[in-house]
Amino acid sequence: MHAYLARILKMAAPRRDFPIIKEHKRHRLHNIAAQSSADDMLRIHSNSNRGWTTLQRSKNSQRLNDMINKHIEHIPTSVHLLHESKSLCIVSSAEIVNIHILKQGLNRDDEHCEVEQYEYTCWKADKVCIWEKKCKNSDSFGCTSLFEEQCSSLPLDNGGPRLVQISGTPQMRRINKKKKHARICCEKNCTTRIVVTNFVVNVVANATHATFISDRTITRYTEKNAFSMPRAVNICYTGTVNGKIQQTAISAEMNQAKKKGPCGSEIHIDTSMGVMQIFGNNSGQRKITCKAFLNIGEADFIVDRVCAMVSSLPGK
Amino acid sequence: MHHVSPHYLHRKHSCDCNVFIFTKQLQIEKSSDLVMHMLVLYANTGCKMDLSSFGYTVDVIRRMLPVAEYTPCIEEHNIHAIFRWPSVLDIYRDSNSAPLHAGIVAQDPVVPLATPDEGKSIDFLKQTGLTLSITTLGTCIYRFGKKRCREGTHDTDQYIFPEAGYTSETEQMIFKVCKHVHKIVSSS
Repeated sequence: MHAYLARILKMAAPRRDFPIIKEHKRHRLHNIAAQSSADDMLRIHSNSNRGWTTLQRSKNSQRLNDMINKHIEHIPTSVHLLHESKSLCIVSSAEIVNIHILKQGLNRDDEHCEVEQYEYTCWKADKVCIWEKKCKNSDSFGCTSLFEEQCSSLPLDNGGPRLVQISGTPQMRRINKKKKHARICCEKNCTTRIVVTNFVVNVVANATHATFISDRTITRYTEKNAFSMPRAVNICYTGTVNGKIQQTAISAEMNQAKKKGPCGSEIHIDTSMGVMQIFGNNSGQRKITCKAFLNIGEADFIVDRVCAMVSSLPGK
Repeated sequence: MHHVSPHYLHRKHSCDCNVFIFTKQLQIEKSSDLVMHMLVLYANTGCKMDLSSFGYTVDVIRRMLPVAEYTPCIEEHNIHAIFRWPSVLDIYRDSNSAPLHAGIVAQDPVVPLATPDEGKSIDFLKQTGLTLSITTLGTCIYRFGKKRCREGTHDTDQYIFPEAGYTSETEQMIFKVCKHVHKIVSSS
């Protein structure tokens, strides 16, 4: 895959013009760009391509989209990615959302989103506050750490901004869990509970800016709309057969061949691999079509099988 | 005139002769190999697509694939854009010029001579067009079709092109073309 992409990058230089652009009904297209710009969430723009790209659908990108929808009023429309990383922080009394955009990817395959979530709970104890950090990520769900906050001058009821201010500073010191903490840190004494969610978005290194757009109709992440390589869904073949074919022989053998199938066919045979149609006799030859098959091996098999079945007895 | 098939001969050797006389069948045989006239594949890019005339998808396809005819999304009509290649042979050749080693493109690739069968498949690819319908949600429908031209008045089912062989190898070549295009569209 990397070899392939490396080659793609080498091939990326302009090759030839793109002259045959048939822009039907150009007068109706004037606002397509505007229209389409209203239906996506995080768009990444780079200096190597026109237009924008988005992250591959995944559970995490879905969470990112949900978060953008929820906080769209607090998120800038666009952020320039001048440096290797760019961070945004959205703070409310009960929630902190960090968005870190890292320009690390060599190509679009490297673009992805990681999400980590923690729950902070605070208890007041004498002159200190005890904070418990509980991991909500599936890989280390429930892991907790305890911190002691010294001499807080900030109001307890404004947990989000307070946590942002003290987090990572000497004011908040990690401590070992002791017996007294079990007594203090009970549900009824809890003063603040804050959910902190970190989105780490890896984008291509040549990204220039990212835009955030709200869309509540965006496709949900499901297996159906996840990335998939091409797979055959319908292949039709044409061929000819010769020899005498009897409708009764088909009916007797297959118990289903219909007289006069669709598209002017004389005989229509449904199989689990596809549909075979036999058309009228034309100077000893009959045209056959095999429709809705998935590969030629299966179509050949059905044709051979039907040919073997429908051969008629001499004299009949 | 009915053909005597290998199936018939097999029966002759394996069955009692008296039985054979009464069960002798007139063989129905394929008088020509099956030829694909329409091949549809489904895929998904896994992300939303910028399909505007000056957007990402058009730009990438323009730079990395042979010349295509492009029909943009038409508002009120549909949410898909269409790209058409009259012949997929050029795409196949592109897909075949794979690097010999990871990240290294062959400077002077050695092109082996095609076998007669491969030559027929090449002819078939030359006569096969590709239409890619791609939606803003990332759904891709690849439709390969043999170019077909009506020949005058009497026989409407004849191709004007010389008969090109179609085998499972040809089909695999078409699948390869499709994968090549899809990788470019979805992950370039």
